[in-house]
Amino acid sequence: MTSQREQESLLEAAVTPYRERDREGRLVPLPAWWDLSPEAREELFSRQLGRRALERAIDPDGQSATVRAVLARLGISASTP
Amino acid sequence: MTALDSTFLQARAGDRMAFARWMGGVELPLRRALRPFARAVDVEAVVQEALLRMWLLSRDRRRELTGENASLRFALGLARNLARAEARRLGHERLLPPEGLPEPSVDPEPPPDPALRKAILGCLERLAKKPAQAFAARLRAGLSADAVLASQLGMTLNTFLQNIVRARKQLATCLARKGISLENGL
Repeated sequence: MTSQREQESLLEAAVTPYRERDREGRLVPLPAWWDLSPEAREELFSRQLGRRALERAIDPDGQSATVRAVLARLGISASTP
Repeated sequence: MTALDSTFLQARAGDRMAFARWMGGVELPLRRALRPFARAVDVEAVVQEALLRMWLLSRDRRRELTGENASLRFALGLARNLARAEARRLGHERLLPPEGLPEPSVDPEPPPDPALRKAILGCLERLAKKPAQAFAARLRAGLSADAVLASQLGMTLNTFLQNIVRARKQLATCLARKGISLENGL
């Protein structure tokens, strides 16, 4: 049984846009995601959506952390023409 | 041609920052369209994979997208196909929504609201020190693991996560006082 505090930490750990790649090059879920129940994953979805919207809202270029993560993977920085 | 299509065309012509702007307009609609898959797959990974593949598509001169908001509609179909394939790979077929879901509406996201930006930044300034540090580190980092961010702040991973939880609650309270309710909370 997961306590409320542990559940909050698990959800927060999975909200991040950071993802690792496996040997085949696929982006894989974080360990915290595997520890969430299907119902908790729906809550995670809502939190990720809210967080990405907030990041986009305050970024001068309208980029969320997800967009910045993708740009970094592509080797594109804000200063790249 | 919509503004989004025009931006995608610029990206296809080699303008990398146009691709960044295009992603800013499609990420949230893509994410919302994946809600039915949230139980079965890691939506964050699927969204990033779909955006990476759209970059590859933008480099492929042979592919042509036609129709209003064609790039967004294509990305949407791509993301849903990726989600189904990922669910099968993970053995989560039973958690998938039924096949043949109706296509969701696909309007690009409007530009961010400057007044909302000001209100959020005002609330971020009022966060307690440690939660503010953890939350700011997360906002900046896309390719850094939480363990790395925590170490840079001299925190354990668990303390780092607890500080973000505190920051989220303080921020939500502050925004609620200003009468602001963000989509799906924080």
